[in-house]
Amino acid sequence: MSKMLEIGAAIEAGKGKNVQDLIQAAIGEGMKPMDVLQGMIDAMGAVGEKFRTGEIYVPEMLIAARAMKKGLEVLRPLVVGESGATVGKFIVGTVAGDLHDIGKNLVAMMVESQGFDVIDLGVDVKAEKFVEAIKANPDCRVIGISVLLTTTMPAVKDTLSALAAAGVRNQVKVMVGGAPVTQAFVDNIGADGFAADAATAAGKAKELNKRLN
Amino acid sequence: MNSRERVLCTLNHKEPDRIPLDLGSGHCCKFTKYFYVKLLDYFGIKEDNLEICSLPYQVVYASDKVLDLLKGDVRNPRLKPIRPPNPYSKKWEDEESYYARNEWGTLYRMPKQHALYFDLYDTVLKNSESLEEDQKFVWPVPEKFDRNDRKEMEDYRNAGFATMITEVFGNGFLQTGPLVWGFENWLAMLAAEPERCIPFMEKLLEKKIEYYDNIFAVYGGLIDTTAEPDDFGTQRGTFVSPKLIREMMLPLHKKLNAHIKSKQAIKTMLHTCGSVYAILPDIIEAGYDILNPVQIAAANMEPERLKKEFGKDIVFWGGGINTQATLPNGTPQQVRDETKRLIDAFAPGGGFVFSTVHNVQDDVPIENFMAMWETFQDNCKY
Repeated sequence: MSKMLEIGAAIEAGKGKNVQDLIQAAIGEGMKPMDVLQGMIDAMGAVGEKFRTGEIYVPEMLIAARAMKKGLEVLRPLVVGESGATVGKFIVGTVAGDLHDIGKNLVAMMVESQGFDVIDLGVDVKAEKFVEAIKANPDCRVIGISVLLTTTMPAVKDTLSALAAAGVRNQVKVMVGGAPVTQAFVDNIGADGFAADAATAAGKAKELNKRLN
Repeated sequence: MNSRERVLCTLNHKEPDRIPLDLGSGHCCKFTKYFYVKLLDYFGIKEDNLEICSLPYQVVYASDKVLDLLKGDVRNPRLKPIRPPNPYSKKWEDEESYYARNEWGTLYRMPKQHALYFDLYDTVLKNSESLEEDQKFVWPVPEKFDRNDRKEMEDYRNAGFATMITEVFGNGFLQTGPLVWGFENWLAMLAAEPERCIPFMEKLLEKKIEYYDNIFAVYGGLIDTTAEPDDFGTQRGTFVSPKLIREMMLPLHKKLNAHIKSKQAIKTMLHTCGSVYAILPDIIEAGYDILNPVQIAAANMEPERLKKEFGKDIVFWGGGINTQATLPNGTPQQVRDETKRLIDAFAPGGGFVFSTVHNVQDDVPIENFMAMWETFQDNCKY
């Protein structure tokens, strides 16, 4: 098995320590860090696809994403400054008043594993905090808002209004997700993207990121 | 037919005089505190000292007066457990939030402003990386009950109501681990280190059996239904693979059901949110008589399909209105149309207790709730 295939298999199996060792061995054998990164992104893409089609479930995707994260800890310092080392930035948070983070964390992990630099604002994120984060990261093109409760859904619209009022709405594409969210809701409040699950969200973030490029 | 006869009739898959109604009593058929206040206003009733029956969800024990006005058939007696000492349990507050650590060491937090729920905030074994470290966890002791505390339950039986015990020990076999390790850690352990999860779940079964035995020692003979929660479903499918549920959780549910039924003539309910179509035959096989809350808007949970494929084998307790969209955000007419459509789908042949899909939340307009209730009253006769 080639080193890259081994790294991919270790990611899928959720073996974080193995992933780190294999990356170091691959670099030692002369593989370019950027090629390793691309191989890992492809491997996580395949994991995401298996999740999307129902072949695997949250636990399997979660351990793969955690192993990917371990691998990135080793690889990131080696690719800093290389063009294409990150696809772009992704600011994410659970909307004001809502303290739920399981779905948001999964989305953050899957988006990160597709090469994004993720800025996670946590839960109960007030609109001003999104505004500040966008202003502090003018190169960020996509943000994600998570919402679980029907009672906090109105706060998503309020957040969009606050982005517009602060003059940063056109700087970013906004994707929204969470159990009660539908495409119709997203269209209705004037957000830009919806994904029904974390793997699809990662693809959506890439797509929206490209659209603004 | 009194309420209890009506409920038992439908639980035996026969048509009673009318569809039984559970609003405000059964597991996840309750009212959140602020919705309950709206309901009290609507009825012009004043009640002080609302009794919270679930801290995280902030749902209340509705009073008999309100349940009578709604013509509810089910009662949820307030068990008064004798709480054993526990090293974790604690409540406190700071300027911004209320905090509560339960007997599982789970820390919940509710912000003081505009918050409706206590949400899981921290767990005691979140940094544990081995079975050895896991064993530092101090298990809660199942509560005992006071023999003198049978009166409320006896009164309900004498008044002809069906009773449901909704207080459970911990949570389900899939769902108690997150209280101790945190959600992500537990799910990752299930996939990568099941050898840490299995002993925990097996011990949970022992403790649950002890808990039910304690309940039966006091309330035996007066309980019609019990509810066990284990949320297997998400909006689009199961949280973990059906294979994992079949191999790791449902055999434990099956043993628990067998124990309960060997002791008491009780119909058992499984509460699981989300899309559980793929494992419904296995849930039935595990000995459950009732499914709640029947989340009809989740994938593959169309009412007609559920009724046709499983209606003879399991009772649908819930499924009366979509609480993620129609009840909070629809118009009263949309609420009426959906309520009627769901009654038509679920009611034929019995095996249906009408309730909302989950607790009624703060954002539900009273007009919508009453539109649902009136539609039920107009269409509940067999």
